[in-house]
Amino acid sequence: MSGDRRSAAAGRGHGNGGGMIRPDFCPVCERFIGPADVCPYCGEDSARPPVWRWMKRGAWLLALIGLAWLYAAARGRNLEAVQIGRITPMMNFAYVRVTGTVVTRPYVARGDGGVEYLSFVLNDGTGRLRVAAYGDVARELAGEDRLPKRDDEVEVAGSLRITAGDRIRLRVQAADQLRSSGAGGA
Amino acid sequence: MPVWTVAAAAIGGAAVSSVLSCIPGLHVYNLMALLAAAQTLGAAWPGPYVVVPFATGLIVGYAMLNTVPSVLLAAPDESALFTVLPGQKYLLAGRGVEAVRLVAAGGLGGLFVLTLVVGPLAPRAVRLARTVLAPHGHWIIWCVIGFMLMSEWPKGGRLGQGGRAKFLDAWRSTGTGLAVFALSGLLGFLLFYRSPLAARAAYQNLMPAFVGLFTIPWLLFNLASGVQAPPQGDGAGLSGRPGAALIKGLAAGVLGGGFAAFFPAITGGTGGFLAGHAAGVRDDRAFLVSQGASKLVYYAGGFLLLFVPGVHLTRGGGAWLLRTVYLPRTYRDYDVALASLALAGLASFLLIGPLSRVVIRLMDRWGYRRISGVALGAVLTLVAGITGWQGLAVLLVAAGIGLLPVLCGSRRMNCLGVVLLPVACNLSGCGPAVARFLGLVG
Repeated sequence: MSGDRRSAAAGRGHGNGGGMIRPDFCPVCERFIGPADVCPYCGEDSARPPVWRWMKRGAWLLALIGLAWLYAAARGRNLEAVQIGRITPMMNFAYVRVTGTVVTRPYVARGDGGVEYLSFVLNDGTGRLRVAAYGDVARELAGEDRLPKRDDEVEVAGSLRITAGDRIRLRVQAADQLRSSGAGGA
Repeated sequence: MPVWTVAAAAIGGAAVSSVLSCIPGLHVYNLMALLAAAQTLGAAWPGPYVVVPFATGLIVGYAMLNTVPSVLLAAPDESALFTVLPGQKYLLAGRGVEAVRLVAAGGLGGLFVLTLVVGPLAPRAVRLARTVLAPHGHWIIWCVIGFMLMSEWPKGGRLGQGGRAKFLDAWRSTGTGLAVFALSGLLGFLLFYRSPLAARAAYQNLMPAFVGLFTIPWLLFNLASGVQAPPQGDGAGLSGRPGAALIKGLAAGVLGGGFAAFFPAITGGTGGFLAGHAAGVRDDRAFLVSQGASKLVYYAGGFLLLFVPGVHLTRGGGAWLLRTVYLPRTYRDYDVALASLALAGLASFLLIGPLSRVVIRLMDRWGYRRISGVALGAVLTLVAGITGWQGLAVLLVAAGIGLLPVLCGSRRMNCLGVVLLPVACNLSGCGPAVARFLGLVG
């Protein structure tokens, strides 16, 4: 807005005494405009300091461009491969990849709706962890006969759940994240 | 059982929280994460009768004492979002101490309900509640999301010429609210399914996002606005007759906090918001009381669920962190947690007055801006130290999203899409499918 008009408005004082510009009122037509940057009645800039407008634009830019960048970086990022023996409680909830040998026959729990849960134990030479799948993922793995057998070499990705006493569990989130060499026996 | 050890550890936890609470933006879970990390890196194990009461003391102390910076320094965490508006109103009227007392009164009421009513009943009631409600969790959370978004429905549109200008005015805050929910939800999916953080920092996966969404915007707001609070009175008592407000606020707060503690991804602020609507809380005093009760019941009640024999529900960051170092199993664990809750709660309540005076003195000496600047530096250092540059990148993006509601006049609660959306999708069984659609899995 023009400086003259704003000065004039400030000079009138908006009935506020002391010549102050009230931030929620248009400095020219003096009507309530709330947080709007531009008065919807007369089209003048509001009395809010310009820093707020720049912050708003910056926030939109940061949110949209930053999120797009994070998204692109996440899609292009390979999951971190970890050794079971090096897993610590600080890795709780980490989404990681583990490679090892299946050392137990997979346990499959069935309910009214078919397979509800399956799990097996994996050993990579540095330690053991239990791999588990629930619901649709378990059904998909069991239905397509993609369950690994004992002594199979598998590569599996999922999120870690760690509880006291070094109990480590890897939860598979998608059936295609379990790849088996199929070299095992029974 | 070493009774004095338990008592000392619980009160010690509350005392540590009183220091922690003076630093705006610092969350109790950050400290608990550091302690858990120290434990896993080989620090001496002090035993469950120190760890459990100390952790309980930290959480209860934080839930009670964080009220002081939330109201006097306006740097709330995600569960105190709604305390701030009426709280700031009181602060700007020089009645900040009175607002703190109202919130603390709600917290004390919540503490009584937890220890005297919920505590004895929980072993039976929580098991029953879980059996009945567990199959319905997903749609209940979707309903909460629906209600949250509907409460953003166009509230402008009364200004200016008809047509495009009026339409845009009407949809400005609503559109921002919906966009904030969608953007934070997408950020949540990224963090849940393919977090940019290194695996060694995964235990603090959501920390940079929460700091960016809720803490940084307020600190920046304080820095940019240069608000100066007027001198605060000593708050010798509560004005008017607060009896009805106390009872109504307490009922709403306990209801909301309990709801938030039981269901995953719902925070105390959201629970308080829902309960406030359900109980028709309009009075500022009742509102502040309800937020105090909701916050305490949410934090302490959620943590207590981990100890309920035969149930052991893990709710809230504190419980997840404790699980990595100690898994409670017996009634004795439950009794220790309950006793620690009562002791630490009482100690924290008694610390409210002195802490308020300390913070007011700090405000007088340093001013809002300098305190906010120091807090901003501390929070950035903490995030960088724990999660590295990847965490700072997440924090920056989250801060961009978190600033939008503050600057555009929509509800900050929409930022909770960061957990609500992924958890609701996961509970509905479609989380992995959404993640695969986004290209984050497979």
